[in-house]
Amino acid sequence: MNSIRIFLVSTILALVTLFVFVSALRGYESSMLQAEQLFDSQLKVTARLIARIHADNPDNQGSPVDLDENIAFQVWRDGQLVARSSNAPEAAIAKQQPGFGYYNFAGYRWRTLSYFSDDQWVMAAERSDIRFSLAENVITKSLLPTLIGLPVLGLLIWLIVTRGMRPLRNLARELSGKQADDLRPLSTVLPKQELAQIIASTNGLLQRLESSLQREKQFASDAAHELRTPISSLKIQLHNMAQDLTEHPQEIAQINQTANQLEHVVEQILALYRSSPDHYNAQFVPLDLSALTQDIIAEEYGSIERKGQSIEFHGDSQFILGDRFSLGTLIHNLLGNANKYTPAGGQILVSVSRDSDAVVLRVEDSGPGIAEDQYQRVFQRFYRVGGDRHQSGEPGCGLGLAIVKRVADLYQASIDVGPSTFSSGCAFTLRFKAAN
Amino acid sequence: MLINSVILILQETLEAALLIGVLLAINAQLRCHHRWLWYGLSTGAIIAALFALNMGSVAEWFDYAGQEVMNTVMQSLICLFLAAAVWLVSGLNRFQLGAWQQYGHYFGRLCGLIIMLAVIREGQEIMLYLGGFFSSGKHLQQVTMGSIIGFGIGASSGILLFYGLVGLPATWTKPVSLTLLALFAGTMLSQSALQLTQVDWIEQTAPLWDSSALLAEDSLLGELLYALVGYESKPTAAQVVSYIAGVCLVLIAAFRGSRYKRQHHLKQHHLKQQSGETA
Repeated sequence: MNSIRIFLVSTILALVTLFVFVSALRGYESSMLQAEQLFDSQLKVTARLIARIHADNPDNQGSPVDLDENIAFQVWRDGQLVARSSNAPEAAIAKQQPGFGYYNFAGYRWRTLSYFSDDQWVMAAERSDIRFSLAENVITKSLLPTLIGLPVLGLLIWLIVTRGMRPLRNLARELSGKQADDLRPLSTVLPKQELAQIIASTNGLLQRLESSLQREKQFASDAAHELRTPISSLKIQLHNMAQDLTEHPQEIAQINQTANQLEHVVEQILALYRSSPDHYNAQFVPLDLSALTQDIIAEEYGSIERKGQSIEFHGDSQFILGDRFSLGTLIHNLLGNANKYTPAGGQILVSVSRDSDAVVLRVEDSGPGIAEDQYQRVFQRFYRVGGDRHQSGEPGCGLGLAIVKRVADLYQASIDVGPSTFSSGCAFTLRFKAAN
Repeated sequence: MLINSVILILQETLEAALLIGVLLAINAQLRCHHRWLWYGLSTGAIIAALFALNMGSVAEWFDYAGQEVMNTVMQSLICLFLAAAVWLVSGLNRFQLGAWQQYGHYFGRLCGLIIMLAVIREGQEIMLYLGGFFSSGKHLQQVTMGSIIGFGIGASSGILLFYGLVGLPATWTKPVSLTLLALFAGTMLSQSALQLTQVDWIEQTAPLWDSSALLAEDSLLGELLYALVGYESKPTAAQVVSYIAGVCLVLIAAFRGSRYKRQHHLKQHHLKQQSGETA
């Protein structure tokens, strides 16, 4: 009911049907009237003919004349019936008044004409039902093409409206097919006059949005970049202070932890920025994902060991097209995530395997897991399950999985979250296209 | 035969089409589903066919007043259901949230019943009329063409009324639709009175007025007004009284429905405020 196409087709067809049918009815009524007049003039000719025959032969008073069953007549002279058709009764079939009328006799309704001429009354009659049927048959045949043509017209209206709506449908398809980060202008060439304004406004809006997002990204990147040097300097100063102020080790450790966290956030913002499609222009080369994963595990092993966690790796050599930096960032973040949210003594399982044309990287842990309704949200920037009150108590900025998603998108790899094979925890599964 | 078929099919179709058009317009404003339309149409058509097949026995009920009494019952039920439907949707657009949504669903169910009754009433007469011609095999072409023309005009009027009501400014759609439903309810009760007069259950009296010279009932405009607002050129006192009763019933339902929702909305608002203060 909300469709523009259904509205246009329904209303146009309803209006056409209404006008055509009402006109057809008017045409039917006037045609029937004209047919009636035509039959009346024919009846008048018949009556005159009968009058002439009997005026020429006034003594001709024979037996009733056999005529067509739908015509009857009587001739009266001086109140006496002098002639009649065999289907006419002996009583008068109409009044002796000149003109047309309707009377019933012989089991039918008749159209009668009383005609006075040469001292005699001639009453001619035609069966009303036959006149009506004859006229209606002719007129309905003329209406038949209109009725047959209407469904064809309906189909044509449907096709024309559908064709007319195509530019709008194409525009809707182009808009709905746009990725969330695709802010390129709409490509519709030579738009229809009615759509030109919409396309121009949408393109203007997209352009403004893109500029705004660029400014936001640039700001974050510049700010993060500018913060790196002072943070490094701050950490060196802290290290020096820790040597000098031995009486406040706890406070120094807390400040150090905060500085580390700040450094982590800045590094993550930079990693996110570098992995955005606009700034990513690395050359992809065949790379052994299994070997790279093992290297990253080795780099992260210190943190894993500190929490008393165990880590296992399964897999053999699997090649994909990629570069070490982006894939390393991805694996670092996945492992960092597992390490952070898996409690002390927990387990982490990493595997690289082949599934037909895909190379599958899977990282699972025995942590608290993620509720199913949160699966998609964990990839949003600055989103953390449970917010800042995450039960692990681990510091974080909510950028790790956003970076993983961004890198996966660069590789057109699918990423799924689900429960792990442990009794608790979650598993991240990435499917990369295998290198030939 | 063509013109007779046009008039009969148009009379029956137009009434149902206009009623469906008005109910759909209200439904569209409430943004409820319209599955009820198909349920009502299909169930109504099946029951109408059963009635038409057994019309001989039905007519013998109530001392050979069966058909008229059945029609009266159906028309009275349509009038009551219309009043209930109007009660449900009156004042609803202002409290469209939360619990009030269920009123839209009840409205849909009632609409399904109303459409079903309307289709039974109109459908059985169409089936009887067409069945007679098709079994005799006479004037088939004229009857078929007349039926198509009558149905086409009726259905087109319903479609145009629906889009006309939907196209009105949002604040006008429902008042105009509810007014049309009130007039329609009046028409239903007025026709019930006529049916009961025909079987001498109500005493036959002289018409209160005769406006056939101004507008004949069998003219196209007369047919349209008959279906839309129950126009009769020679109504009896019983018909006029029934008509006014039907209109008043729906108007009272609209007033009461609107007041009920306003009072309960205010009550809920008050309770929420109280619980907020306690918290």
